[in-house]
Amino acid sequence: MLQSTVVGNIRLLNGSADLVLLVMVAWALQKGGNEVYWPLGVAAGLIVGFVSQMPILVVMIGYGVSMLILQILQSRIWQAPLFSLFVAVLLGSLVSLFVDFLYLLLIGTPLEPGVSFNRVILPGIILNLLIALPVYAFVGEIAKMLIPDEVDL
Amino acid sequence: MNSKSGPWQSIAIALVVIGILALALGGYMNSIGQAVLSPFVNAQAWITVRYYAYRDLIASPEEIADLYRRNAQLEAEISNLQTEIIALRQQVVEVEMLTTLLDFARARPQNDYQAAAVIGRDPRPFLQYVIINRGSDDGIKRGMPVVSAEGLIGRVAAVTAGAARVQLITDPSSKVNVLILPAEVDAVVQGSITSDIFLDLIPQDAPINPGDLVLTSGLGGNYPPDILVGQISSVRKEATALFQQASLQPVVDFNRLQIVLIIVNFTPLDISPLLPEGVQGRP
Repeated sequence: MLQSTVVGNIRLLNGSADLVLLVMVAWALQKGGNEVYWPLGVAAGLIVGFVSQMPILVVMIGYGVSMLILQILQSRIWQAPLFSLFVAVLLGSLVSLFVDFLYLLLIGTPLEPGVSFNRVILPGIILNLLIALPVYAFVGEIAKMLIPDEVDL
Repeated sequence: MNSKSGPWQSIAIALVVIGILALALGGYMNSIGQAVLSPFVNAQAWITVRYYAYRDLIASPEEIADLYRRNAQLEAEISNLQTEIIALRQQVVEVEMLTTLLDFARARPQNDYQAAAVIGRDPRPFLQYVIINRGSDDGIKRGMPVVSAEGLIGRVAAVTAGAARVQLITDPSSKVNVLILPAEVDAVVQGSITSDIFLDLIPQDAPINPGDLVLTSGLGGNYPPDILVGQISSVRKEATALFQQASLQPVVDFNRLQIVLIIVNFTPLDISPLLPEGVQGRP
């Protein structure tokens, strides 16, 4: 809802931040979040696909690839969550928007690749990277409230 | 003895009183009066000051508490009034909008309208769609044209029970058949990912100029005719091209859509079975 009403209206050229992707990545980076990579991707795809004109499968592919990238990063550099965050957001945004672009191209929508990259994809990635850290901090606080640390007795 | 001294005594007293009065009126008694009254005045002042001090001491805590309570009440009242003012201002804006839309609807009595509020936008940046708060429960069907008081907005692309998704004419896959006035030339309005709209398929010999009006033509059966779309802002004509192109300034500000009207008595025609295979994607 926030994405549809508030974040979607904050635009850099014609690109906008993807709050759903950011929350999904930030949650997956929390303690215990790495157990829910795929359910998160599927849930995010369902939510956005229901609101958007874009088919659910296309949105799911974009988010699923983002989760896959994050899973690979976490399995190799699990001690640097911020690095994983920025790389996953960068690659996830790129893949997610590129999948959208490819789908629209396939169904015959007249899109110019250069204009699409300069006006939508690149500004979208920049906006996502700009708000990735605040979203990560906010999701971290919520995660702490919902999943408190285990106490040794 | 008493009867002899009575009148004289009275006269003497009267004379003394008159004398004292005369002295007092003459100002000769002031210093004596001050000397006599001063202790009384001082005592009175002393008692009064202490009385007021004790009275304030006893009464003030209640007054201060009362003042605090009253202050809190007034602040709450101010807060409520400010909220009310904001709500009323919002209502004024909505009423102004609805009045404009009502004028628009009255000017076109042949159409039936259903007003709807814009409650969201498509979250994917490549798409130009808005979500409205009216759906199939309100008689909204796929393909119905959506307008505002200014002009054409788009058409309903998908419907649920309580909401619908509207494709704006700025969407890259949107195409609208239009008529350019005063040349009366047919063309197609095409959206783009930059939210700009432009005119395509204008015959090379058509005399079009910046400032010309663009209205829906009704061709293709997707939109009713004579709805204002925009005004030509620039024309691009190349000698080697088959058609002219023109940039279009839409009459609607698509970034500030709040309330829209859906034309509910217009059913779009599906003419795709009549078209040859190669042109089925056209509007």
